[in-house]
Amino acid sequence: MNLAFDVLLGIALLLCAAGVFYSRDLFRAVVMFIAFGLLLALVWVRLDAPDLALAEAAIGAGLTGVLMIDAVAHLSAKNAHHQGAQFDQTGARPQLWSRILPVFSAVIIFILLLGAIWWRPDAPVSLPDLVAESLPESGVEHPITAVLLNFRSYDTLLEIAVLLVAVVVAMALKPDTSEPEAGNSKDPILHGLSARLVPPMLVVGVYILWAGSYMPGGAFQGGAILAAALVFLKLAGFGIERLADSLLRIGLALGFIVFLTVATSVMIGGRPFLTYPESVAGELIFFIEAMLTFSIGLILFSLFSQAPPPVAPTSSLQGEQDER
Amino acid sequence: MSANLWFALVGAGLIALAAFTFFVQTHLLRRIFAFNIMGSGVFLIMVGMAQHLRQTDPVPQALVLTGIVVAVSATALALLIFRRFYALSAAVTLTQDNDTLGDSYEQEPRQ
Amino acid sequence: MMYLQIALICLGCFFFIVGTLGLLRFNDAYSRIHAITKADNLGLGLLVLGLLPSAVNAFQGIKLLLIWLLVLVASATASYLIAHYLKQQQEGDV
Repeated sequence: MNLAFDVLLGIALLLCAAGVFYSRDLFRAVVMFIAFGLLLALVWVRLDAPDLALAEAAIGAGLTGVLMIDAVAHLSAKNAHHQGAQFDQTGARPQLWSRILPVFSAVIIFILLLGAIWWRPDAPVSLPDLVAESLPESGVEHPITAVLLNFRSYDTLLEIAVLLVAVVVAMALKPDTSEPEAGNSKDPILHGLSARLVPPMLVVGVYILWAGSYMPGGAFQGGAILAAALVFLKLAGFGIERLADSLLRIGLALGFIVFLTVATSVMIGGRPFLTYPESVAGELIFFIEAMLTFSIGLILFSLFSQAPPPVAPTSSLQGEQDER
Repeated sequence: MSANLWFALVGAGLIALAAFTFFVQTHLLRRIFAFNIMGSGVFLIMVGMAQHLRQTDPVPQALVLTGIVVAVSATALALLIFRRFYALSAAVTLTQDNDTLGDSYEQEPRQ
Repeated sequence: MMYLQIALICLGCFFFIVGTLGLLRFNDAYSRIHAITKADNLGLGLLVLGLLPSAVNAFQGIKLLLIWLLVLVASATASYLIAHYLKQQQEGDV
């Protein structure tokens, strides 16, 4: 029964991916992409990874979907929107090898991956046992949080640095024309809903952050929910950007700076970089996580809000769909 | 066949499909989609293979959690660069992908 | 109790199937919205009702009910927004 469900889920995943790649128009592709993200969240549940399911549903399907819808709506209706699955736009006959080569290389990649999966080497040490063994000294009870913020905190530190770089580049790419969007019609129902729904969203975000120390949850999922709440407020026409702009400069870097400060200040006590004293490890991790949540939320939101306003490209008319 | 192995195989399929798309589709947005889905395939292989015939493994799960967040920021950045490119050139494909320049965006809409 | 739960969940799944069928087969966006909201509201409500007796403690039951309530509110608003946008677009075209 479970096997049948898994097989169906896997096939649906592949079909959704095919839909993303070869559907007629781009909007359809984005809808398929969101469906893909939600199915992938189900797959994570099947693989015993509730943390990943939470993150995938909130980030992979939710935020990425919003970003992609925004980008597709940005393309004008006149061109580009209906450039579906035509492989080649040119009138010239494509040469035979340019058809065969992609298929050939994709098949080769697939076979190589299958081989790698099939003849994988056996792991010399069992990582789960190792994690379970040293879990008591990590300061948290949830193994994934322990790995993220204690055993492999290098990864997390560098990850937040990557996020910071991404958002700095995004801000640099923003064109100078920063005129306020005039046509931001306030829909009363959307406005009312978001006014009532955002406080519970914030509570859920903080709850997930708090829960991360002993059950699935943590900074990334909480940050994603925070970002979703901010995006929601922006879409509902609250003037969140002005507020966010002043908050942004401090908030974006806060997580990284706090993390780095904690990581280096333990060196004063003679410890190696990024190792916490056992007695306060739990508190330190929670403090870092809280700051990370705040920063991740703001970074993900500003990756959305830094998107350039709809500027009509030089040779086309901007469509109607940005009016709303 | 365990669910872990099956989903690792699905991940391999996703990577191959996305790679194929990357080769044949010239539209930049489709390539960004392909890039993102290829990442999802990698995550599936990582978690699926690590847990195949063993217990739940928190280490690859934590790494993939990091990966998901990095993937969304990379995708957002790619989309931003694409939008900037589109605003400047009104093209949705890179020119060297097409034999004749400008063919892709001067065609009539097929609506 | 067990049989009641099974019956409720089956009924909920039935509404989901009917709603999906409507989403796929109707050719008008308004009818599609109508069909899919039935799946969301009634189908999910029946599923939650069916799962409620299996909740370990009251907290879990409240969470289940909360899920239903949030989906109700969100789907109602989303449907309204889609329909509103469609109507605006149609009036703009004429």
